[in-house]
Formats: sequence, structure tokens, C-alpha cells
Amino acid sequence: MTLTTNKITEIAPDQSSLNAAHKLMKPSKWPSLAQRGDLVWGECQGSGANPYRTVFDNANTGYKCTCPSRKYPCKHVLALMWMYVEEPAPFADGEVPQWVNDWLGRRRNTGSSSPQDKPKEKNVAAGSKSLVEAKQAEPGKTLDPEAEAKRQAAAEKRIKTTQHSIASGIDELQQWLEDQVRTGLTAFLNDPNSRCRTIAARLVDAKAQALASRLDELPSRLMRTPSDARLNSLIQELGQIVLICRAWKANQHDGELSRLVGSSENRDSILESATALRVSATWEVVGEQVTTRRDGLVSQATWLMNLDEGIQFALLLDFFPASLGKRGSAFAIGEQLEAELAFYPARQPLRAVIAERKSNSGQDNTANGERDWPAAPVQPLDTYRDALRLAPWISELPLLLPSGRIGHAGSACWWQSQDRTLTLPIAGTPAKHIASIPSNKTVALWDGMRLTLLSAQSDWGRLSYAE
Amino acid sequence: MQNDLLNTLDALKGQWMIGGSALEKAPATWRAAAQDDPHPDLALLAFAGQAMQFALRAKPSSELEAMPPLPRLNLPTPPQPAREQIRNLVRVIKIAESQIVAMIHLLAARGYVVHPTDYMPKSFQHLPDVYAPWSAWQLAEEASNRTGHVDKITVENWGQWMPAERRAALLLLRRTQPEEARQLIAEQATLLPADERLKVIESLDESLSTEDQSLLEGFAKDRSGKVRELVARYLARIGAVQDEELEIAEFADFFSVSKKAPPGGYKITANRLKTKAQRKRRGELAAKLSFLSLVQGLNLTNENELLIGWEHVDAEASDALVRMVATTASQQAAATLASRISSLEGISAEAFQLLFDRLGKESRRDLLPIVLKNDDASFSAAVVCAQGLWGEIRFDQIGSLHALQELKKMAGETDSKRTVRQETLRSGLFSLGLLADQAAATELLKLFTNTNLFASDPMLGLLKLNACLPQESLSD
Repeated sequence: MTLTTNKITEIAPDQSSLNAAHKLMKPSKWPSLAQRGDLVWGECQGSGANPYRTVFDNANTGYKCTCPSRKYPCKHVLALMWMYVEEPAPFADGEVPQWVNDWLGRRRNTGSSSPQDKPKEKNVAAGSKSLVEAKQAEPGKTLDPEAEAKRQAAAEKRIKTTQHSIASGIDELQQWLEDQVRTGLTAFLNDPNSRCRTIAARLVDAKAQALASRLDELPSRLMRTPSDARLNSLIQELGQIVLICRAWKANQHDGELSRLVGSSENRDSILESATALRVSATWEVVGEQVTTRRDGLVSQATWLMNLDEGIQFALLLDFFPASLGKRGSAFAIGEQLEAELAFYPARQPLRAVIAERKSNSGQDNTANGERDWPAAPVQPLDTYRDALRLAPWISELPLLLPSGRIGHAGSACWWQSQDRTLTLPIAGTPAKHIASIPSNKTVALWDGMRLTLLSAQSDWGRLSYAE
Repeated sequence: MQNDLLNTLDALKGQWMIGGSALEKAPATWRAAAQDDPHPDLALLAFAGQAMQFALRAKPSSELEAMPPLPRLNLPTPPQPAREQIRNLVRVIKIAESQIVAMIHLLAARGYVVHPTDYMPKSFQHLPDVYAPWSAWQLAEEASNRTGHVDKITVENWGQWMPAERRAALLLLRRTQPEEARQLIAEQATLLPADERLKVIESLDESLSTEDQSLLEGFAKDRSGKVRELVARYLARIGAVQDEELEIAEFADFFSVSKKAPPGGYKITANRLKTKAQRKRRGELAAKLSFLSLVQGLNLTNENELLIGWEHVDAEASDALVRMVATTASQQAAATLASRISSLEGISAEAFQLLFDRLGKESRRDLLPIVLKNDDASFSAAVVCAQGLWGEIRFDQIGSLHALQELKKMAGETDSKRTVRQETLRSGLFSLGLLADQAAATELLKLFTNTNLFASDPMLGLLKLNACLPQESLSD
């Protein structure tokens, strides 16, 4: 079983959803409850005439509910999951209804274990959104070579136009950067919002969306930085933008740089790419960061660590509009999953997507005893140095730190290795009772100036600094 | 080299802050690399950013103070399934603070302490003594001191203890060597601030006897009103208080004494009062005078005559009597009254609690069956009576109770509105979670899930915790 109550708690969008879900855990609210294989479904009587139809896939915690809630998962899904995890007995083994099959058909296949009677043909036809499968679905159709050549020519032209547009945007950005230096960074720090907003808008027009977002986010990043470190942080950020601009101009076809400047590759193109790095391993979820961006998107970053070999991290990055409501995390910190990840091409591969997830994975680490993390390097910052050599525009990198503890000097918190050879400043202040527990190993993000602690292993067990 | 880099960066930053090109401030190597660039200052910006990102590292402004490590407690943390239930109760179901305290007592009764990442108590005032090192750690963390060890307290090391640890150690000493503890309190209590002095004197509650009289009398004129009040109660308990005779007579006039069968017995009835002022005065005198004074004022020969002959006709008077006994009567009188009051009917929960707090574990164990029998579906009287015995009640002790049948009936009702009955059901199931032993908790879970509740119902939260909490063998 994939789900645990711990995990349900983690994926709930907020406390009130859980509270509301608890109120639904009454037999009178659920006229029907059933399961088949990993699929669990039920009908929940709401205030309307027709009950809400709720389903989830226990193999990968995919879910769907017909209620109009803008929270994901909604209270009905949470209640259904919770009831099933606590006591599956009331869930009779039943035939999969059509509405569940319809939902399955619309889902992207990420390794869910479907019931035996799931209509496979239909799933292939309706469930796949990938180009490869779309082409396979119509084997008889032959392509007109002339039309294909035209299409390719048009595509190349579009790419050239985009690159030209980005290049002029970058020229404008460099001019803007020089203006900031010329007029003084003190003035910039006094009014970063209006300065960044103007250039970010220009970069959007120039199709350099990634750079635009980065500049749009810069004021709030600076505000989160202690005032005495803001100038350094600004110089570091502007310096990295300069590096990205220069590197992209030198090689406009580089996938990593195009991602940093313009837009990211399609998820399917990564999954279908023959050259994308793929790593099959047991991964542990070591941290999660959810931030609402100024452009109205919520960024959900989930950090994974490879438990099988060496020290390797992966970042699963999801975006969704904040206007769509609250959305819970798909993973619980400490959860271990066996999966094959496909990495976005990069000099220091980090961002990835799940290519395949083993259906029996997803065990909650805390419930099954902790599997030890890889041995931490004695000089963890060497990893960062090596990464900067490969890709000097990297802003932050996850590190596995050796045993250490948290101390303070004045109001600032610091992480210090047990042998006291390494002392690094910490962003924010962890809860005192967590901070006072010496860690055996720690996973943290290092940006060259401050550590953002994610989680740790200690004599008290696994610690999450997000708590 | 580090200093050169710092100086370089300071010079560049200084220029960029006020504005203008910093090329002239850059070292020769940087200048050489940047001067042919179409945007030389941007090249310098990239160099500076890289240097800060990699070559420089901030250092603490002063000596780093390590946070005092959270001490290990003398009991283990619960097994994983139980920890999951604890997290559910605390973070998801969000039980009230008082219920968390009760849960922590249940854990301690089974031989466990809560894991700090599951729940970290904010206050340790009402928690079991085993948490004293955490309380001391919390205070030490605030005071930036190091502590966390519990040892025998003596005059010599008195000043080295943090207050919470000191109270725990003093209580332990009082239990084992009451005379030594008395001596220590006599020497040290006067040096403490009023709040702390009160708590130290409260440790005399353990094994209070006439031998403590002279010490208590020394605090009878303490400058703190709370201390004077506490001392007066303790002195009354050991019969060493002399109330004003006029007030005793005035108080006795609020009651009537008549003879009743069997011969030699008395019937004591509270007079019917006509005005609020009379009730108020009766309440004031009840709070001021000792139980023994009332016995004397009614011309009775002993405490038992009053307790056995008391007629429960006026709830307010009965409640005041229970409070009087709880705060000023002897241990024997408290036990006698407790044996006659087996339910909360007409008595406030607070007075009931005060009275049962006076009883030892064994007395409460003896009274528990009758309290259980008379209790209502909330089982709140049983929870009070069973303090110290939580998690020990067998299923055969509760399986046939009328209160349990009533609770089952409530669970079977489909109306999910927050009615009084729903609240009683919620509170009753929580109480059962505190009372039952592991096997009983498992049985009760079956019983209620077979009735009409899903196993996931949050009302069953504590029962589920109880059911997955085996008794840990206590080590010394």
C-alpha cells in the first residue's frame, strides 16, 4: 500500500481540508464505497441532489472528484483516502464503473497499476498525450514529404525569430544592467520593484520568459535576505544574469541555457528524448519548497536524494496557477520511492521528471525504519565548487552535510560541522527544539551565501526543518 | 589572499553603491580581463558575483554558541504506529491542549515519552516528572545555560538547579526522605521569589503530617497572599488551625442537625436560604473556615458524623462541603467523603477533582468500580478518579456498564450535527481512550466500528493510539 495517514496529511492542501474530511468519515455520508486493485472509489452525499464521485489510485495517489472545490485534493478525496487507509474492510471489491474508467483514460500513465479489467485499448488511445504514442496510434497515416518539409521550414523560421527576439531582449537587459550599475545599486535597493517590473515586462515581450521571471522575483528574494547581506545578494544575482546572457549569446542552441533564458522543454520531450539522462533508483523525498510567484504561479519544488549509489539529487518542479486554489504536495517528506527519473539536459543535471514509478514503492520512511543516507563528504562545498566550474550560473545546489549542529551568534543561526572545520550561515531560524538536536547528516540548499536546511538524520530519527 | 579579495570587493561595491564604473577600482588581472568587453562593468559584476558565491564565506560575528542539546528522557519514545497516531491527534485532529496533557500522561503510564518532533510541550507545569529535563532545557535555552541532569538535591547544590528540575528533585526527596526535604525547604524557601516559593511549599502536599506544623506556621505570615492561603489549607488539614469562634457559629447556623436512625446518627441539612446575600456569606465562610471548625460548630464529635449524616439537598452547599473537605480536612475525611460521592451529580467537576486529588492511587483504585458504575456516558468522573491508573482498566470492568451502552447508542445515531449528544460521544470516547488498557482499547474499537463509526473517525483517535501502545517495561 502506498498511502499512509502521514502521507495524506502531507498531501492535504491545508488544515481546514483535513478537518472537513474528518467530518465526512461517517457511513451515512457514503452510500457507496468500493475498490478494485489499486483503484478506490466512492460516492459522497454532499448538499446537492447527486452525490460527488470520488476516486483515487492507491499506486500513485492520483485522484479525481466531481465536486466543485478548488482545493486539490478536496475534502472528499482526503476522506476517501483516510477511510481506506485506516480500514479497507468497508470497501467492497466491485466492478470498475464507467466514470472511473473515463478518468483512467484521461490520465497520463505514470506507472499506475490499473485493475485487471481496465480497458487497455481505450487507455492507450485516450490516455496518452505524448507525440510518440500519438504517432503510434495512427500507424496507417503517411506523411506528405512536401508538407513535412514546409512544416520543418516554418518551425526553423519560428526558432530563428524567437532567438532573434531573445537576443534583442538580452541586449536590452545588458543595457539595463549597466544602467543600474551606473545609477548606483543603493538606488536600486531602495526601489527594486518598479525597476525590475519594467525590464521583466520587456523580456516577456522578447520571449525571454525565464529571465523575466527571475527578474520579477528578484525584489522578493532581496526582501527575504537580511538587510546587511542584500547588496552582496544583489551583486551575486546580477552577476549570474550577466553570465547567463553571455553564455546564451555564445551558444543559442544549448538546451540548459535556453531553459534559463526562454522557456523550458516540454515534459514529454524529456521523457521521449533518447539522450536524456535516466536514473533508476530508490529516492527519498528530502525537502519541499512551495512559493507563490509574482506572476501568479505557484512553484512546488520537491527535492529527492538517490539512496542507491553515490550522492545524487533530483528536483521535481511543478507549477500551477495560484488562482486554481490550494494544492497539496504529491509527496511526503521522508517518503521513499523506487522510480526512474529522466533529467533535463544540463551540465549539472538536477531538474527531472518521473519516467516510471514502481507501483509498490512509496513507503513512508518513518513507518518502516530509516534507511541510511549515503556517506556525507568531508568537504561538502567541493561539490558546489565543482558544479560552479561546470555551470557558473548555478545559484543553489543541494548538499549532503556531515554530522553537525546548529548554533547562534547573536540573532543569526549557523550550521557547524562536528569537527568545527565548516561553519555556514543559515537562512531563517529553525524551531528551537529541532535546532537543538545534533544531526548525523543534513540535506541543505547552499547558494554560496546561506544554507536552507531541508532535512536531517539524527539520533532522534529523521528531522524536517520545514516543521 | 582572502583579505586582498575582500578589499577588492569592498572597493567595487563602494563604487557600485554610489554608481559609476568601477573599472579603475578593480585589480589589474580583473581589469585586463574586463577592459576589452563591450560592457566592462558587467564583466566585473560577474567576477564579483562568482567570487562572493565561491571564494568568500561569512564568519560568525562572535563565538558561536551551540544550542544546549535536547536531553534524552528516562523513558523511550513510542513505537512508530503509535507515533503516527500521536501526530494525527496533535496535528490533524488538533485535540485541545488539556487533552494533549492527558494523552502525555497516558503515554507516561505506558512507559513512554512523546517524541520531540511529534509534539514539543510549551509548558511542562502539568506534565509527568519525567519531562523535568526538557523543562530545564527550555529554561536553560532561554537563559543560555547548560543543564538537563536530575540528581539528588542538597543544600550545597540547591542553587545549581533550574526551577523545574529543582521542584521535581524536591518532590522526589519528599517522597523518600520527608524530613530531609522539610529541612531543605525551611532553609531555602524564604530566599525564593513568591511564585517559586509557593511551588516549593506545595511539595509538602506529599506526605503532609503534623511534623510539618512548625515549618508551615513559619510561613503563616508570608508576604505573599497565595502562600498564606496555601499554608492555611495545609495547617487546617493537619488540624492546626484555630478559626474565629464567632464565624464558626455564624457558619454553623446555616445548617440544621437532627437525629436519625440508627441511634447515635445525625442528619445534617443545609438550611434553605432566601437571599443571594445569605448564599454569598455562606460561600465566603466555607472558603475561609476549616472543615474541622464546621464539625465543632455543629457540636458533632467527629468528622465522620458530618460526612455520613450529610443530606444532599442543596447542590451549592454540597459543592462547598466537598471543597472544604478537599482543601482543609484530614486524609481520612477526604477518603470517607470520596467513598460517598461516586458521581458528579450535583457536584462541580472542579470540586470532584480537588477531592480525588487528595486520594492515593490505591484508594482511587478501590473507588473506581463504583464511580464507573455511577458515571454518565462522558466517563468524566471515572477519568478523574482513575488519575494515575489511566490505561489500566480492563474490558470486563467496563464492558457491561450502562454508560458504555449509552455511548454505543449515541455512536449508532446517524444525526451528525454537533448536538450535546455528539459532544458527549466525543468526550466519552476520549475518556475511554484514557481509561482502557491496550486489550480493552482494541475491544472498544471493534465495538464502535461495528456500531456505526468508521475506524478513521477522529473521535476514535485516542482509542487507536491506546490500542497500538504496548506497555513498555519500566527500567530504572
